[in-house]
Amino acid sequence: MKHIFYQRQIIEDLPPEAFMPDPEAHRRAEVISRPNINFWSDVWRRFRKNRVAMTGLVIIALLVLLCVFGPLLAPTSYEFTNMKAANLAPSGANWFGTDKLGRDLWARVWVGGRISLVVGVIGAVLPTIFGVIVGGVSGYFGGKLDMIIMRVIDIIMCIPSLIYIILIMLYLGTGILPIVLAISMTGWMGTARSIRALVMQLKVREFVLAARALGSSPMKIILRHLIPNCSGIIVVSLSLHIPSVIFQEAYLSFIGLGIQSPMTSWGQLAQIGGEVYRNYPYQLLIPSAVICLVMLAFNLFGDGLRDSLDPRLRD
Amino acid sequence: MAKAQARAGGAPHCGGKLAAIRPLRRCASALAPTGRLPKHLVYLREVNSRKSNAAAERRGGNAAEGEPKGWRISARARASQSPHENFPQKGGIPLLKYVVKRFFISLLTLFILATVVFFLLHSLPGDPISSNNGILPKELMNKLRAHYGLDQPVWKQYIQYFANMFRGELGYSLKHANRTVASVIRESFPVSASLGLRGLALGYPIGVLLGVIAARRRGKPADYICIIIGILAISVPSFILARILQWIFSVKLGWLPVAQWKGFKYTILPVFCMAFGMMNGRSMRAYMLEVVSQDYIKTAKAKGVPERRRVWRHMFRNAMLPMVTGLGPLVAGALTGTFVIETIFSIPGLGKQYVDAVKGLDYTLAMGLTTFFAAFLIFANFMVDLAYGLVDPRVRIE
Repeated sequence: MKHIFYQRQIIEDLPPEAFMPDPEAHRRAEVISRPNINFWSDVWRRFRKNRVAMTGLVIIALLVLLCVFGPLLAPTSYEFTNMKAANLAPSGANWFGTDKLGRDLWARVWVGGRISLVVGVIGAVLPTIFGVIVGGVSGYFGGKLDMIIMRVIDIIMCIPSLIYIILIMLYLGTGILPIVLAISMTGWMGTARSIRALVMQLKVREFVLAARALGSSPMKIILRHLIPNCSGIIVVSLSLHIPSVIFQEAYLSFIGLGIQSPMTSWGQLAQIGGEVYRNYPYQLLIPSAVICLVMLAFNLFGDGLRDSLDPRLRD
Repeated sequence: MAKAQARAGGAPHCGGKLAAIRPLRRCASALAPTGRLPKHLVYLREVNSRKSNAAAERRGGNAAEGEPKGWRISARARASQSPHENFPQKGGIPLLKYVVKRFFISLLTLFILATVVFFLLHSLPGDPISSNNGILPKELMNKLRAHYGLDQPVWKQYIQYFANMFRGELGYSLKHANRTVASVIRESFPVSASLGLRGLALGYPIGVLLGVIAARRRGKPADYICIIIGILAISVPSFILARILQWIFSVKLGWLPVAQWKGFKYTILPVFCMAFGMMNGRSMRAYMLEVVSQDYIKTAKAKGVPERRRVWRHMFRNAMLPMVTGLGPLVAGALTGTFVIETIFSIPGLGKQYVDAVKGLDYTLAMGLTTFFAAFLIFANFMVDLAYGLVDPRVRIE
């Protein structure tokens, strides 16, 4: 009973204006109270919740930091040889020990990491760009052009990559550029195929029809309408491509075509460590662990990215 | 290869009209008469076309005359429009025609490929005679060149090589004295093949099984364990795994031999290395999850099909379909050997021969092996395409 009395009291106390409609109400109802969320911030929001993928991202960030600043913490430069201190086990002075020429492995691992990461990123970006353009053109125009491009890809895919890798390396010498080019030659066909399939699905959609009706040129439709719609797949394939390029670079080092000493890379370190692993296992285990860690981190990251881009698969 | 032609590539480009249609098996006959489409099926059709564009793209339905433009209905649906046309579809003649056509396309591909590789190889600087034997006197080197026909212009060598090839002669190796390329293949291929097959037989089923388990226990610990194994499988490079296994099992424990290829004991480590890379259930998991949300699984559940049967009969079979596509290159790659594992375990396989041949500019051996690899890959893809039609009755040859 009491509270009803109080309520009535309050209502009677209110001025008559309080019962007029609020002229501002319309406008306030229209105000967007939360920040606008576009596609990528939505992806990022989902990605952040994925603890495994975030771990991958953190590991990648840490490794990049170590590659940038790690060599500064080493007692000597990566190419400083000291035969008196050869094959030392890890210790307080040489955190990762030294190799057979007495070079500090801590410095070598992180300098090698710079090379491996640079090769990995560029070697994944270049073929992806190329593959996206080829796949986009092939899928959009279709017909004879598509047929020819696909047959060419079929044939190139049958040629063992070793031949043109050796060809490029023999012409351009050994160094980062030839390795990146050689690896790029092998990686674009898969991207081109998947983008082509996606573009073939997208090009019959209404937004393409609208763009065409408005008079956009085919190249503009491909670059501005179709490829941005494939961006999810492109980003995922990119992030999953990087570890495989790092692996390929290691493979090239393994067959003796990789980065040449005194410059180094993770693959080369693992290869050299593999020769002496019976006596000095740490020389194999440390670079191997780093390679596995970076591959793992990129794969986790790429997986998480794919899940965030396509939440249908996750839950 | 022509795989793309049989599936995605062969799909007609419907000029800006509607997307693909993949009728459910049950509804196929109801869908077919396009004029009399029941209303609820119209809805179904739209949902389906949105959901499974990709799937339809893969399976490649084809448009027939008389249907509205831009419609692609699977052959089964079309066949039921006029029952009499059903028989030529199923008969042996189109299949035979397809096989013959594919055979000739494969031959053409192989020929173009061999040509490209021939000129690539010959454009590598140096030649097999001078690359290693710098100690030989000049006259002898010239004599050797003349002996192998290497003093001829490249186009003459090319004609000579292909003339020999059509007669089934792959020639003599330039590096191994008095050995034919065919004999090298005869000797090394069984080794690579047995290594590859064992690895495949061990790794592939485990990978598929892991994928099935992960998909069924989604979000549970079992799922994470399976995913972690899968990610480790692709994250640990084979040369690192091989070295570490050697270090643990041969050097430290002394249980298994370090290298070579002399008996069962010698095969364990390399086969495991080979298999480990294939224990990746992630794609199988993804396909399983795609299948789970399909209507026929709901139907099966509603009918009261028990869980186990639903998983293996309904989900597993359908999820395996896209997996079959990847099997061709996988088998071909496994059979023709991987250089890394063969080198580390000093196994006399094809992969090692191949790398040595290319690096040593052994033209004939490298050519022969490339052609062999490519023929194998093309053949494997062809087999997969045929098998695809067998395991998925919706696929029809165009």
